[in-house]
Amino acid sequence: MSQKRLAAAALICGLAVVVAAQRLAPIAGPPLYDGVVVADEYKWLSPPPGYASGAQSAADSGAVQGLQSPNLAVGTPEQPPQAQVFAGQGFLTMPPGTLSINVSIAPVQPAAQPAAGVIAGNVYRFSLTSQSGGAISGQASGGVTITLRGPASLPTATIERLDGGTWTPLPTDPAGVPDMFTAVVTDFGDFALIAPPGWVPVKAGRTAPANAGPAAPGSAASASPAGSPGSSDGSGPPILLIAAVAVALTVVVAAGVLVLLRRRPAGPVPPRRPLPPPQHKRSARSPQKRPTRRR
Amino acid sequence: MIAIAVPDRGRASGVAIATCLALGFAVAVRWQVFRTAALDGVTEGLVFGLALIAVAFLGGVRPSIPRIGALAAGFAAGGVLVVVSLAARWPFPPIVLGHAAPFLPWVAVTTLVATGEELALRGALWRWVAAAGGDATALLVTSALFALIHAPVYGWSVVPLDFGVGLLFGGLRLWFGGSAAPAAAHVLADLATWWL
Repeated sequence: MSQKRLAAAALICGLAVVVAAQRLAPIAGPPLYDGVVVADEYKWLSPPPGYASGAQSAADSGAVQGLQSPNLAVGTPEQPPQAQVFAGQGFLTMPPGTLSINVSIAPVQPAAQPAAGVIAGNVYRFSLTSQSGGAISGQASGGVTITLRGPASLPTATIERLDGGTWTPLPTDPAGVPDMFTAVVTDFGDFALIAPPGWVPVKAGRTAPANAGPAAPGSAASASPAGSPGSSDGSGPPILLIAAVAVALTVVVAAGVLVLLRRRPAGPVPPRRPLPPPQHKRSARSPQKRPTRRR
Repeated sequence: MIAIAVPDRGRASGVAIATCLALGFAVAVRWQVFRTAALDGVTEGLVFGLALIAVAFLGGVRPSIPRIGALAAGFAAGGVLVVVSLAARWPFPPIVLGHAAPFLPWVAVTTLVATGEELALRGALWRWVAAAGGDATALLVTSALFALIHAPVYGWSVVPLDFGVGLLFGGLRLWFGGSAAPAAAHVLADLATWWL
């Protein structure tokens, strides 16, 4: 196959795979392939010692369009938002007579602890009501999702809903953004990210202690002080040192392997074209200079 | 007549493996930084980007002036990726990302990381894998690696999408014969996240 044909095939196949992947399993995030996501420090409702407080709420409303619920997208003001709800147009089930939908998201103290795992971050109460206070829910066909961002260094977590005093896990996907997860919901109420047992929060910009033990699943916002990561002396990380060491290590590893490889004898050179036979006839274009005899 | 030295397959395979190892090491460093939250996002990206550039340079990539046509085609392809991503979720709005970073440093580091990935993957690694096994092999290997290196930070759910993007970028690399077109597409798609 010629290079252009292979290129055309790759372009067509690549675009087809992109479209199929986006349609069949769309990631919640933007078209992010390796962007640099910079997250503000996680804001806790009741922070562990040394962690930031100031978790914020969000509220908005949308007018019903005809008989359909409107497109809704509401998120808390942190960067990126720590809690968001999305509803596609027509995917909300509303009580009769609904003219507008009020949306609120607020961090609340946990009413219960999960049987397994640790609440990672805040519990958020999602409330969608009609103008008269009637409860609104999402349709079972999907189309309504919530997204929660947890504290830094949260590789895996499950979004769970507090249902009658028990935390119930929801099918959860990474949102394509670090520490952020998303799930389809039908009912609203209290939601939280539940991390695996033993998880402890890591303060952004600081390394976790090597002996960080399992967090006591006490209060959601009270990670075990003994296991609280990050130094509490207020000193920042040696960023330049870490960066220099990381880059230097990569260079050394790569250079070392390449040098070792280049010590091997060079590969065979493609056979040269046979040299033309020596020309015995003198060319008129390049006359040889005859030695002159001295007389 | 001057014979052009062509690397033999054995040596090309060795250098390709070395480049893969260096790339893997750079990804591992980034994963460790991300997992421990040792650095903020911009610094993490700066470290990763510089490591990728180093891998590309050691893999034989040298700076050159890109062709305008390749850049234009790359930006067009990046725009297509953004449109496809938005259209696929219609009518749902995208999540709000809201980068907590100053714009210009973020732009610089995002551009560095995206360009570094392209130079390392579809520059250095492509060259040696193609020399060892042909362009089709290079296309599949770099596309698969492109998908895999994103899994640690962004989750396994991005692997199918990023494999497709890798094929698309590989097609650009094949068509235009260099890393400029895929790098332009990659940069645009990543920079779009600031506004989406």
